[in-house]
Amino acid sequence: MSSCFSSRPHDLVRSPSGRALPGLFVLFALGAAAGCGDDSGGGSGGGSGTESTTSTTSTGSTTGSTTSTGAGGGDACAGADTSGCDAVVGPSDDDTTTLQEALIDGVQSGQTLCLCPGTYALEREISLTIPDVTVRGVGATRDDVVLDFAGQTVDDDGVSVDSDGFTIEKLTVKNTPGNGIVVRGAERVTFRDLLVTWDGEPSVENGAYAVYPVQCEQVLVEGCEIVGAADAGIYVGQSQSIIVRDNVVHGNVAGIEIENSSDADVYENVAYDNTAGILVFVLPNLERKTGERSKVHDNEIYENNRENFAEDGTIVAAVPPGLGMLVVAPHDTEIHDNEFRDNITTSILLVSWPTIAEVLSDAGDDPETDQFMTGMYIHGNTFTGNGTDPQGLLFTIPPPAEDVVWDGVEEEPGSAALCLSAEPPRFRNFHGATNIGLLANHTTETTEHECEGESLPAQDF
Amino acid sequence: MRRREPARPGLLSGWSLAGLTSAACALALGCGSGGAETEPRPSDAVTQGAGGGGGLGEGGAGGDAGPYDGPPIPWAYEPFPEVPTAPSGPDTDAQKALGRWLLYDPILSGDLATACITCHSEQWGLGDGLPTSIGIHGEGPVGPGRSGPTSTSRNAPSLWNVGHRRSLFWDGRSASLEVQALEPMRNAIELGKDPAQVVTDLAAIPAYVTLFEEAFPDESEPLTPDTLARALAAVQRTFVSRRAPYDQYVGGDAGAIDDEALRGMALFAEAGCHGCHVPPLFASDTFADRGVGADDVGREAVSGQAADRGAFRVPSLRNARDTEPYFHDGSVATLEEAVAIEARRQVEEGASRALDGAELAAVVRFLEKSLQDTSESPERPDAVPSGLPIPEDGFRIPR
Repeated sequence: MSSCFSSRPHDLVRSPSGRALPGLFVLFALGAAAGCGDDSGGGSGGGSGTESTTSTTSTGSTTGSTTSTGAGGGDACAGADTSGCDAVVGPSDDDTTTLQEALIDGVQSGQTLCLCPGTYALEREISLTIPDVTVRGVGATRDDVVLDFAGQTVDDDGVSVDSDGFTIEKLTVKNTPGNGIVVRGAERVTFRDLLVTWDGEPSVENGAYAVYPVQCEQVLVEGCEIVGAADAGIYVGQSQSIIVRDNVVHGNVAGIEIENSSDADVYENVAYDNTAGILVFVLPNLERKTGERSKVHDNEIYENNRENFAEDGTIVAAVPPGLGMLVVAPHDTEIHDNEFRDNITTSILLVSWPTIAEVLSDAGDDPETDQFMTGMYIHGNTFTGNGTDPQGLLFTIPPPAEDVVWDGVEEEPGSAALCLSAEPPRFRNFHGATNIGLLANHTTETTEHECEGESLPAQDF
Repeated sequence: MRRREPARPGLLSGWSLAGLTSAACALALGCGSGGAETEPRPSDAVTQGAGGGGGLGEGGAGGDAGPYDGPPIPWAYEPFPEVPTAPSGPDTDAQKALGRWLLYDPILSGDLATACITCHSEQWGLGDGLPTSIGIHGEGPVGPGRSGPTSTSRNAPSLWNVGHRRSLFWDGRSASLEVQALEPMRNAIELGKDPAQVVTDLAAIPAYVTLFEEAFPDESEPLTPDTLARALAAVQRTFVSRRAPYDQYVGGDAGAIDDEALRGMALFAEAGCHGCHVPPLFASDTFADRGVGADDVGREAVSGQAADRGAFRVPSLRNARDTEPYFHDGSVATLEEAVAIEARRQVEEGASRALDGAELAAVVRFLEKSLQDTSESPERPDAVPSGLPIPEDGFRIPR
């Protein structure tokens, strides 16, 4: 049984002042920040990053007072580029305490905590509540700084953040029992150049979401690689103003998922070997009830044929393998100039909630949530070798299945406003969940969908 | 990353300090005169610090605060208080761990399906997201949408910083966590199981017998209603929220609260809100009639004083973002609405002017952004010693 309440690191840091934190070195900037002790002598304001190595000391419920110990901690980051770092930590005998205390008393708002190369063995969730903090690995690559949660015994998530202006970059997070990096209710969130993964083959035992901003505004996820998430690798939920670009996602159930969110710009990502590559969802029973204006373009989406390994009972567990994209009930979505290759079920599956509810016997009901897809503009994509072996309930479709498959469910005739452009892809409408297996009731005619929809603007914030 | 200028006294332009004082005093009249345990009022002095030039240094834990010289705050600085120690002495890790198991274990309930966290879930601000609570024989996961044959008459209070409280329940009828802890078991529509029966059932589970022995090694009888209550009190004293951006700000980090939230903080003070929601806990053990809900006598039932009719204990605003719906009857769905109601009430009670929409939004931003810290949430176990299923949680965010 877990001894979860024994001296959490948050408590430790509130111990009487004077105890040096293991492995925490503050480089030259804290002294310049409001609230730092006058006597820190740490205000040189620049330099090589090793000239001033001072350890932060705990000061009760306050922050920021520094004392110089000159403990030689700079060696831990020898050779690393620590320019721009306000505080630096290296691996220690107690990485959990080192890192957690650094995020409580080692930085102030607007500052950057740098992590020296090495592996940090973390036993608890690491939390941050200070606004405008950057956590940065300073190895040559993100592989050099590893936050390893394999030994985690307290809480499930790896990194948990409540504060605005959080940036995490150039490091690896792996083996979290639950989600990787969770940011909740924050503005201006950046995930950059991260590897988030789990050792071994992808498994239901892995965490659900790797990069997980929820109820956020201005979310940027770029240059990350996500491998092995048992739900979605990059999951942006109930958020608005979102950029997801230049990421590589593979070995997940869902590569990228935009859920109940608005104004998402998802581009130049590579999604392969997931169960489904990219999902745009509106699901019921969440606080935020709508999802609109997702723009998914210029992505490479191929071979998303991995057997679904999500936990039974979750909605994503019902996703059949072989999907390039799965779209559930959003408003005003644009999918263009993507490359779809070798996704064996179909490239793009479009459904509304009644179809999901029909497929899932216990899908829940939420009259406040928009249930129908409206406004869908698909154009300029390339399709190669998809639909060769349709899976799940689409198995009756004779291969090769069409590249856009729609359930045909609308709130009223024409309300879906599905436009496939003047050069439509191969298309199938199965006219509702009850007709999935009744091929005679399907149609493949595109005439009424040969229209141009509205192009969505790029996100810029 | 930009640095922000600390709040300037100029933020108070338009409202005089005298106005602030009168608003706070007017509000004080509305705070139950019959309250047995009345917190001292904050000073009306507006602290204007040195402009963010220096840290607190010696300030902080233990109440040994030196002169405050952090960024400006519109009230007298008080360090975050330590959680008062239990009458029986400091809580041990074994007591806290035992309390955590009990918190999640439906063995405490008459239907063996309801637990403390059914109404005090870490996913719902240590409340339940419902206007009034659904106890035993309820259906559906914890959170909005849960239904049942009966519901409580009042909203489940958040347990954040409950260890600092000297009056518990909305009407303040319990004076300590130890006294309070058994009441939901005795209540037929909450947990609905006599504590003596709970103890009997726990005693039949060897794991609990051991846990109680470890938690109360000095007791001749480690498993009693008394120790049950003490363990529950012990775990509740760990629900401390003290790492919010406000705490970082008063600790000397002027950038921890953004300009709009700082404006909200100043307006919060100008409207006299801090007279009852007293920093740094943003709570007080006082009772106020805020004109919400007409059929509940509130504090009067405890004090016997007509002046207390309709008065309820002032809730903490820490983590209030997560504790909707609001007020004792849960009749107010959003924090925006709750702040607007409070601001109107302040005018009725003598505040010099109403807040406009932008000002209300700034106050909401202050509350939502600056008082939020859930880093000490209890950890949800995978299983509990009774082997009963932990009540399912609807989870505010997908898991």
